Amino acid sequence: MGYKFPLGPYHPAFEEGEYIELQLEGEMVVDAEIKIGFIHRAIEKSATKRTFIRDLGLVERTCGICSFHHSWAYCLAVEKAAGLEVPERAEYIRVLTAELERIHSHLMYLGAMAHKMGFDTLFMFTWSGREAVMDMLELLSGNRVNYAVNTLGGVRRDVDENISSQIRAALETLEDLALKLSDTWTKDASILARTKNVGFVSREQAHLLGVVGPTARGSGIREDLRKTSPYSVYPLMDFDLVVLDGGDVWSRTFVRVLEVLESIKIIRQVLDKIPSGSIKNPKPVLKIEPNDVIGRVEAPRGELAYHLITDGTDKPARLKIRTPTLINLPASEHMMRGSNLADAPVIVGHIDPCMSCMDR
Amino acid sequence: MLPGIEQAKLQRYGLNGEGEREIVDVDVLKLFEFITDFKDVFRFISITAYPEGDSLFMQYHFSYGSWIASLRLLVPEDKVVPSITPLLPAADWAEREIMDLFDIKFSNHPRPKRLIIPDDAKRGIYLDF
Repeated sequence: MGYKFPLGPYHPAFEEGEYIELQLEGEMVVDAEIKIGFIHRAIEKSATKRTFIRDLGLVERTCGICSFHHSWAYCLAVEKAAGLEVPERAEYIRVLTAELERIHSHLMYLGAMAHKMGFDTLFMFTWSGREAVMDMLELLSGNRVNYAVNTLGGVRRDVDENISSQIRAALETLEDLALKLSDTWTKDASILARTKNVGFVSREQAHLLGVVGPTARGSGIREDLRKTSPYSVYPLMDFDLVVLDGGDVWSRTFVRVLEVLESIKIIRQVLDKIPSGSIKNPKPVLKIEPNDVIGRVEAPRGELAYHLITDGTDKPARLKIRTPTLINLPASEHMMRGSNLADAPVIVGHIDPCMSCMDR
Repeated sequence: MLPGIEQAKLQRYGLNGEGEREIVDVDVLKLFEFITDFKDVFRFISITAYPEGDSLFMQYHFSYGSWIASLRLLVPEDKVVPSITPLLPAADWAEREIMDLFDIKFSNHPRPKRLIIPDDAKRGIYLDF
């Protein structure tokens, strides 16, 4: 005899409002349905009512965790549509901020995952280490969230010797933390019991579900826009594409542990190679000729795409934001089917859902 | 030229696999043929619905490496378009969102429920103001 089990919209395992209706047979989930829309703010529509430069502040507030990537994807789209060149030093600063943000996002995720499994010691340990990267973002931008580093045609904040030496010192701490985490996530018996062979998705199925980012790379899909569709100065950086074939919660989580180490590698190269010069193209963006462009970046959760249509005025005619969670979360409905009820929060949580991103 | 993709098969849809993005106009039949042909190799990104003049358009975006194909479809007067979700599960939420925001109906959608606006709100809020 089956019954319905509501999870959320306010639940200790969720950071934000989301509602999951589970259809259960005993302890087994036979069907799952996710309801979103609790934080819908119509950002796409509001963007068409403001000028291009004012939209920058708006789109940055889509998400509190990957806000830099939102502004970057938007800048890429506008710069492409307006034919605006970006100075090389600005590109390096963008990569630097993006990778710091990726470390911060992945560490937040790893802590939250530990918390969802009831492993609160690891949660506290991960999040205390995350403070180091938050401090660096604050040092660089003046803010802990919504960094406001990007502007159309460049960046607003420069990096000097003092900042780069402090970042280098913080990277030592972070590398140490990431190595300890990698040790814990491969050896701890309770972590392995909760994550191995849970929420399995094959490579073919993952492709048809369209998943992106670590969720795809944990299922053996070799796709990371930094490598497969290089933008900015990523082609000049030496780093590895992390792909694991397991297809379960553990693989998709461990991809992120390894990516923290790759990001540290990238930041060191940025600090070594950063050229001198201006950080912003002084040309203002006022009206943009009719154009239709897509700006894509690899956000911490996967591909983030901004589709911008301009019509010759100083405002976008249409701005469509496709966030990674919007395509990854429906996939977790498939992952939950056939799993245990106790694993449901872990399965929803392991794709690192960002409800604010998704509801826009 | 895209590695591993038959050029003649692509050209049937007016695409060359060159540059970083190509936009082509399609009708419903061609859209479905394209998805059947390429769903195993191209990754579905999303669908953008947008008004242009007095008509509504939809662009179906597919990605392959650094290349994007955008298939543009004119939404008919009655605003009913067949759903691609039975073929391609990735399109599920993208179609439901368009139903909410632009009041376009996707016939044959397996679960045509509200996604991001409440059940008692009017559909098509993005067309209003």
